[in-house]
Amino acid sequence: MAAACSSKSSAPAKNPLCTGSGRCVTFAKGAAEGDIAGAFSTVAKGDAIVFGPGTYAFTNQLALGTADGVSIVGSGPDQTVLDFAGQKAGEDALFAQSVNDLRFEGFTVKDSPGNAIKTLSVTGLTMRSLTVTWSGAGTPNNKMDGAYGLYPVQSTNVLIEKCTISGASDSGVYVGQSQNVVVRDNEAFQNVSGIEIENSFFADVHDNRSHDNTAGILVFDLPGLKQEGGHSIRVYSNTITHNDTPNFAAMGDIVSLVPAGTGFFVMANHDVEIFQNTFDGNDTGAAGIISYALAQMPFTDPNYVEYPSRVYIHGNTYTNNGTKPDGLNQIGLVLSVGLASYPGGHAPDVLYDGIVDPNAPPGPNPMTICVGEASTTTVCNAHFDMLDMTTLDITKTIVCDASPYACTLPPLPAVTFPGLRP
Amino acid sequence: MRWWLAPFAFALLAACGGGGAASPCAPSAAGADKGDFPSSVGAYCMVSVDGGAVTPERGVTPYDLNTPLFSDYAVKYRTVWLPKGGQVTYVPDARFEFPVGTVITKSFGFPPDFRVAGGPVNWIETRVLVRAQDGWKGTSYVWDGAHHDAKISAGGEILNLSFVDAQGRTQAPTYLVPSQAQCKKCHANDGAMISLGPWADQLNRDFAYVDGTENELARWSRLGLLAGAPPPDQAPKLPVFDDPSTGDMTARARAYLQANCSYCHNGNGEARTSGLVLLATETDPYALGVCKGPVAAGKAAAGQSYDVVPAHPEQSILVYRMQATAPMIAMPELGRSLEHVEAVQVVSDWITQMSGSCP
Repeated sequence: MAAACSSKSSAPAKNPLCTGSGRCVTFAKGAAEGDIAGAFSTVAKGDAIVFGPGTYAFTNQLALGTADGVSIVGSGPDQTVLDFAGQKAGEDALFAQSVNDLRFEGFTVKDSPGNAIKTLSVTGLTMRSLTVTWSGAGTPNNKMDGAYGLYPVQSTNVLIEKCTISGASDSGVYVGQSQNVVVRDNEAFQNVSGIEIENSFFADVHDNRSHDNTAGILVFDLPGLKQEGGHSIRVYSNTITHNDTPNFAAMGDIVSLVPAGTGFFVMANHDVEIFQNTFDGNDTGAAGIISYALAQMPFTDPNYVEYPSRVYIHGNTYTNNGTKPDGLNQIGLVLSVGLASYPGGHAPDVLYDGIVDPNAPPGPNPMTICVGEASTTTVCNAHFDMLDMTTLDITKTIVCDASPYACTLPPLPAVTFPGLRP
Repeated sequence: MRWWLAPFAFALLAACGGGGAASPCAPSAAGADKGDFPSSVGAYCMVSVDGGAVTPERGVTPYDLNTPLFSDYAVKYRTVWLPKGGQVTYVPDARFEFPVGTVITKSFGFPPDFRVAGGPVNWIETRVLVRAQDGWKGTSYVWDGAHHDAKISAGGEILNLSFVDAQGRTQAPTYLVPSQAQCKKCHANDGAMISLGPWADQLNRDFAYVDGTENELARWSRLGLLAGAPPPDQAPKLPVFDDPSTGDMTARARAYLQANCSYCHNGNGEARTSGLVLLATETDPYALGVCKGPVAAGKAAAGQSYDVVPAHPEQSILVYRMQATAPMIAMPELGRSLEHVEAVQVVSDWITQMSGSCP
């Protein structure tokens, strides 16, 4: 079923999706899996693999061979569906590693048993106009649905745009241990985490719609990894709404610790700027600034910094957040205790856990957490560092006073990399 | 005993070496070192199948490993051929580096009944690794029903097989013939293709050659394939994971993890994103998974907090993933659709006798 465009003798009109500098291998509905997997395996520099409209079913993972400048292109996410419900081998449906300038565009990946698309050590990655979904999305029985949707790791110069991801039992978009990352104009819903940036440097997450997940957007840093000390992350102009889906991540998974109703969390990391986002209807709270210590997981990594620092949150819009913290989650449960006593009668819009580096210079704001929000925004330090672990009575420790955080930080620069259009 | 073969899969061409007694051929990389894999495995003149047994061609050296990779209980037959004048320089503690033009093959097959010793084997595929100027290249060849020829399978496939195991149980693996790109899922270090098996400690063992039993390192040295090797008793030796005479519980469990996990879990392999290092030489308990939380494991965490919990294999994600066969959860990620019960036992015993606890 594979046909090289360039080899047709009658000079047919060139498939407009064949844009690469190399060969173009096209597949039509009914193409044999072995032929598709063979084409993926034997790609050469500049090749394009193009799928016509239709559903293509797979029993094996689809791994990409080692060649630069390759494009994997469908006829549009509503036209081309790669269905992995029958996948028997491999943790990821699509997998690529150690190449430059790779593009996935215009198709749907459906029902992968594990991650939908993973890339490892790719420099120059574009994921555009993709849909990733699982049949269980939005149902109570989707615990076993996949893990991550779009999953670049240890990759550089990453652009994820105009994608739609739903139903992931971990994160819809997960960018790990990467550098120079732009995640924009995507829609993520009914995942545990809509968008997660983990152990990454230089990321812009903007103009996304992350709604009806367990948590909207997470910026995490974890110990024991090759790249850690996440920093220089901007999260702006996103719409982060109604992320109140009960947490359906597997226990043990780090995101299983996140309460339902979370708009945004930054955990550890330094130099993070969160601005011009719209937070609405996130029942546990809009934005949290927390330490890895809150996860109560041990680590031995001497280089790991578990405290967030130089976080600047300003100019965001908050409505109807924190009205019903997740009682099934320890953080949510603790917050719900004092609900009536908080300003405005709801859990804080901006919640700082107050766990600071014991070696930091003393003072009211040792980690330089800066908050520049309207006076109607509730800003509280929960002081989990002083919480009595037997009573868990947060009303004894929480201080709702924005004044220690009334500082500003210089704006972080926009992420740029070769080929990135504004 | 063809469970999966298409009825028309009869030999159409007698490739060089494919008929056993056919005209002699000379082993070579057959152009694969130039990036052009031949369509039939016979072109390499490395192995043929005769009477249900893989037979090396003249000049091709078979070998075995102390603790091999588990592949759904497949039996394996490995061979190596070095170009004329080519030689491996002995190193005690790293993979052997082979000269350009080297060809390695590994054939995978299943006896219909593992209780029948020495019976014919249904050979499924022969994987070929060729050392090219710019690194290793690999692909697989799938045998026809008569074992006359094996054809290239660049895209790989999943085969529904069946056999009776050593305990008399019927096993039905969904056996993976890897695609060419999937070779690199295991045979890679920091993105570059590598060989996996030939290390000194894996080859330091006896092999029953046609002309008698001999230590593999000694034979490779005697044939001139290997330079600088000490006598076998002075070379390292990896324990055989299921032979208590070759090492204690810890050493055998670590040998199994070395062979089955560390090609990814070594700090530079594909699992470098996880922080879990399962090399036999790793000494940091945390890197080995002790009280280490999972990273990006998703539902494979299975409600447990740590990769390894001392004294508690049943709470250890590492054991859970060795037992699991679902594609998102099973480890290794590729090439295992059945639980390796014997190995799970050894690794569980190792964890059981660990002292300490996690928070």
